[in-house]
Amino acid sequence: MASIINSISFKNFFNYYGDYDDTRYEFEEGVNIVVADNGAGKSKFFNAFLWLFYDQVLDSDDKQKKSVKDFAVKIISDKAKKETSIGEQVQTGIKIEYSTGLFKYQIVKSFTATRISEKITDFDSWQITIDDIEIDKTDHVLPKYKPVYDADEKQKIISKLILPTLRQYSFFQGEEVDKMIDFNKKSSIEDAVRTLTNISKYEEIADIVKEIAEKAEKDLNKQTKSTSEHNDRLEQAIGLKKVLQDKFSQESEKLGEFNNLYESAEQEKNDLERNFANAEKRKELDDKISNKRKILNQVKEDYDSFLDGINNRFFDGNFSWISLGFEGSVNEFKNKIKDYRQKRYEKQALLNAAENPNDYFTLLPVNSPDAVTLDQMIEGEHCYVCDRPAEEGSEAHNYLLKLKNRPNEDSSRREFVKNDLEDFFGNLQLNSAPFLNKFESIPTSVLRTREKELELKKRLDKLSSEMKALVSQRKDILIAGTDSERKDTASDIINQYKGAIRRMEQASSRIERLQDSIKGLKSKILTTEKEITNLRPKDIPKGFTINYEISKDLVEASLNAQERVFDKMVSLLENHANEHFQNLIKYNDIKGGVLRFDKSPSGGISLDYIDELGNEVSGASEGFQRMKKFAVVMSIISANTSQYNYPLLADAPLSAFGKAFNKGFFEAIPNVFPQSLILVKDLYDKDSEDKLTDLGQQLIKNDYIKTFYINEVDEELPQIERTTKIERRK
Amino acid sequence: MGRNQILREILSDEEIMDKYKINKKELDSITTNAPYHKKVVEVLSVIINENDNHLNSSMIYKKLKNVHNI
Repeated sequence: MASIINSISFKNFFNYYGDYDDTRYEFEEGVNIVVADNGAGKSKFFNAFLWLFYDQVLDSDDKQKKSVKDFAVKIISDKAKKETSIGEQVQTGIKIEYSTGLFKYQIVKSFTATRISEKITDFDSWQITIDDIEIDKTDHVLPKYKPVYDADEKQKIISKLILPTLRQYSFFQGEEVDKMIDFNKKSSIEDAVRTLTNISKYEEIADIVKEIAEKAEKDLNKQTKSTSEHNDRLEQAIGLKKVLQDKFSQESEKLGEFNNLYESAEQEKNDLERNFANAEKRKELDDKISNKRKILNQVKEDYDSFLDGINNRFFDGNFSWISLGFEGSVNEFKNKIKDYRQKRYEKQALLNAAENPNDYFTLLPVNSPDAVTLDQMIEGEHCYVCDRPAEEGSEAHNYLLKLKNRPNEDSSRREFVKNDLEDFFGNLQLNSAPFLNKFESIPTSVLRTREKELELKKRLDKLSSEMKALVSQRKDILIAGTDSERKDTASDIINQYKGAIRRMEQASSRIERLQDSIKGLKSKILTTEKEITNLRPKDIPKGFTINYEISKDLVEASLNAQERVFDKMVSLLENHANEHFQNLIKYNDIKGGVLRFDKSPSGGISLDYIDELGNEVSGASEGFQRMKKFAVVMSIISANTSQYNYPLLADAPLSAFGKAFNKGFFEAIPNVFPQSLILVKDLYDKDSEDKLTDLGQQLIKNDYIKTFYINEVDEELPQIERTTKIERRK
Repeated sequence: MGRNQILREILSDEEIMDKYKINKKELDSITTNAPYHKKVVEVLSVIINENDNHLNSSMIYKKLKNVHNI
């Protein structure tokens, strides 16, 4: 009876804030879907099972698995951390309920953290104690949980949920499908065949039969010597057989070595091919990153100098922002300066009048008439001020000359007011002139500036996030490809590649020669054996002969059986894989072709997609490649003669699949897995009223979808306040 | 079931069936349990059964010697 996950609940586990009752999902046999946008708890959900099975969680920053104890502070919900005062404790945990045919289990894994200092995100601010695993068990007849105390039994109960050997096919995250079945590795399909068949039993038996045949031959030879008279020919034949057999073993050993050499060269070639693709991808990304960085720096500079320039706009006559709010001051100034000048003239006039009363009414104001008018009056011998003639030599003409030649007044000017501010106010008026006609345009200009600033900021943010995405893509390539950031130059890779191919060719020709030599030895051994049989004396007890005959025949038969079982399983897997593949691509445009498993020279199995004419179909999308592999995973499970008894737990299995694949996927999985828990983003649509894509809306109506949840997080809130809200739609 | 399947699979080898005169019908009905009608079936059954009992090849060989009365 299959293991069925009944529920999972969290306590202050990442964004799942609150007690177990607040964050609980209930599941049923069949397909269960949890839809969530990025950051809304998909991977956290998956992490709960990583904790359950391996005491680890995945660090989303560097995609590395970390031990729960070391990573504990990051696991506790930020909100819960914030609400815990220094000296207080907070508990974080996961609770999973699952049932088999007979029993139901409840497993709780948790840890307790005590806050010891101020900064809540610091690892040093918390003291972590891992709590004992609590497992309770009940039968279905009288459902009353009873605790399990035995550590071994606890471990068995956890293992039974999904057997460790089957987890690779039943518990994975999106891109892991690629690694699950690595057709570059000979062992990948072999491992699967091993998991599915009792082939190791055949291997054991073949080994035992071989050893027994050797013992039987020794015993028979002993009997030959003890029962017959000296027979040179027989002894020679037995000796020859021994020599041939030794040679046979040596050559077989060599063949094994060259097979290994071939295999490792082939593996290197395949890895290089993949790395070469990665190196190209990496180079492409590096170029993109470098260009993007240039643009980003330029925009950053523009933005900074724009911000610096804002100050200048206060004093720049073209903008005149400083005068904002001084609109009323112009008239005020005009009136005041008018009053001031009036009073000033009055004071000056009064002083003049007091000092020279006779001239008071005849004297013109200082500096008038001006020099040009005076020259005209002297030349024309006529005073335009009083409109009287002023002939040369007359008193009037002399007065005009006196006026023209009057000394600079400044030195002789008498002070008539304390602190004469005439010049000061004059300058003020002069300097403010450029600002006067700008009042109306200032608000618009401020607005434009603000708009420009926002535009630049937006561009900067966009470029920064694009840059971040590129860098993270590059990191993904590194994780998927080479372990280190080794700088492989294209020529290094090509040389290594050529070297690997050369070694493959060399090994291949040695393998051929060795195979020929082994074949020759085998037939010589057979001939010698026949000769020995004929030469053996007839008086040996029959049992020894039969013992040897049967065991010798069984050696060959058991090796053949082993090969047959392997081939049969591969062919069965091929049939199942094709059946699943057709279901998976049902809604896709790709039509016709089939998957074919082929044996490579080194004995590995390659997976090809071929069309009706037997030609390989290449150039398919990443989603298509992944779908092929998933079909193989499904075949490994369904080819099992007994029913598969474990749930499928998959985080983002659909990434890169495409919509048509997704539909096929949800329809196909119930054929293989008794229960599936699928965590997806691809069905989420932020802008739709019910937050679901068209496919999401279609799926929820299907009978084979048993439960359907949507996770939501309030993105408006700061990170520390964010919590995942679970909404059950079905 | 597993043991019988292994037994039948190994004995289904064409040469074995020929040499020891095992026909298809007989093959489908043989089991690793006694009584055995053919020595080859008995030998292989002992090997399969005793391997499951975690006996090594030397110990199994001793049992086979008894089978052959040697």
